[in-house]
Amino acid sequence: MTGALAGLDDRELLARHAAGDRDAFGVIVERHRDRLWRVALRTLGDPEDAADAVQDALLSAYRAAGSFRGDAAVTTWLHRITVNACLDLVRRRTSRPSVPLEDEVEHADDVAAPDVLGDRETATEILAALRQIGPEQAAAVVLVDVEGFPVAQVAEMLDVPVGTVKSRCARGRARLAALLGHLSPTSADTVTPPRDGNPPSPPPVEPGTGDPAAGTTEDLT
Amino acid sequence: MSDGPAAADHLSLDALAELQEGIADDAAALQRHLDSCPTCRKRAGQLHASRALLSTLPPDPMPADVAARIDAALAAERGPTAKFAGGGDIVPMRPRRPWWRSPNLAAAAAGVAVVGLASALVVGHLGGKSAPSAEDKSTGGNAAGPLAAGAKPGTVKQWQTGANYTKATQAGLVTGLVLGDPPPFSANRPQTGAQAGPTTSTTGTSSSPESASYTQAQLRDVPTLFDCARLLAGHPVQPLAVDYARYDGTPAVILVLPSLSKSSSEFDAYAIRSTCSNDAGDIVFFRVPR
Repeated sequence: MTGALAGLDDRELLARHAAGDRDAFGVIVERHRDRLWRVALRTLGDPEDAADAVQDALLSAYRAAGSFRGDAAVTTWLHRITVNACLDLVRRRTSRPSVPLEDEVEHADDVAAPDVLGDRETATEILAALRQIGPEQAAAVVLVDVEGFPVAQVAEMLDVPVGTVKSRCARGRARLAALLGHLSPTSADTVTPPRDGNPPSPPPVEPGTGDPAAGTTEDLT
Repeated sequence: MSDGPAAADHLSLDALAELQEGIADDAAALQRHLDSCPTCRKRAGQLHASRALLSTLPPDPMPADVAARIDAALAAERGPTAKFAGGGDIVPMRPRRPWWRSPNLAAAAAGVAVVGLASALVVGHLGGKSAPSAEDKSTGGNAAGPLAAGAKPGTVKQWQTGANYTKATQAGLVTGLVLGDPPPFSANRPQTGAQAGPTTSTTGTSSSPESASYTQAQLRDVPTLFDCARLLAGHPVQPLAVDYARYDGTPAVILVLPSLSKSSSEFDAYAIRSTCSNDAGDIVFFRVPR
């Protein structure tokens, strides 16, 4: 029943949906949901939250199709709605008590389910680290570094200036590197070989990485 | 942004990340330091390594149960009589029925007993104040105020999202129900699904409201929604919205009423998981900021 629709691009599908085609939106969902799921999962670092956020986002998109601006790509529009759903979900929870973020990181190993091994365990630790750096920086890093979107498009998705995307990426990467350093103890040498055999120095003091809240709100627009 | 690269200082990860991203304030100086400092080069490698680590994340597809749940929610949103009006927010399930055409509700509005509610359900219940004051009208909006003689008949926004309401999602979902702006109902739209006529309750709601009980099926009928709302609020009240959905995974009718606290900045929502009655011990109450 969706065979004829499958050949249409997203914009045309959205127009058909807005015009009353009952099947058009399902084709859009089919195309995008895996990616939206990954973005939500990694932005939030939690599968339950990600499922709630994507459901909220797709229902919002379904209802708001009539307000879609034709000058944006549907992909960008869907990601924007999804990231907003993620941020909304986190904001709604800020009022309720939660485990301090410092504790979460120190116990990152406890967070991982005991029965996951190898890559799964690594993925779990990465998710925990992404959750630790907060949804705004996580979203920027995930969209740029993992999903490979151009910075300008991510700026549209996040509805912030390009410079803000870059600074969120930089801060997020720095904090991820600090949080995940133990997972790749030797890879640093392979990426940038040192020119001599000096032993590694103690970690520097890094303003901004010790406070999980730093940088998550100051650049809100 | 970053500390200046004094000769003896090593660069922080933040400074290195800014340098790599091309947004460092003093890129040339940082780069000079980096070129001459193996320790900082190693640290820069740490940044690359963690980015590489991100790329090892498995390309997780959406899990089947999540996909099924979202498909169900979207299908419910589409509804049996779906006819999307561009920009509209809901698909009304059936014609909305003026409240005065409900014998039950007309009786209620005429001043039949104002009843209390099982204490388990009452959070912040201020009692049976049913007469809206001028202040209510000025601050609470038209549809949000309690019914009273002369009140404008309102309509109930009927949704069928099938969404799963949880403590995490309920606030956002309820707000959407109330703020969503339904397209005008087309009277000549062919009706499918439920019977067109009102479900005339046989439980004697007008005569003994405190013992009334309405099933989820009966709550698809607008007049019955008003009866249920009166039961829950303790006085005749205009329901704002209803959603035939789920609560914590079980089928539930989510009924949204003006807040009993009289606050115009809140909604009261009830998740009716079995019946709408004073005997039902499984109704979940939650208050949602507007």
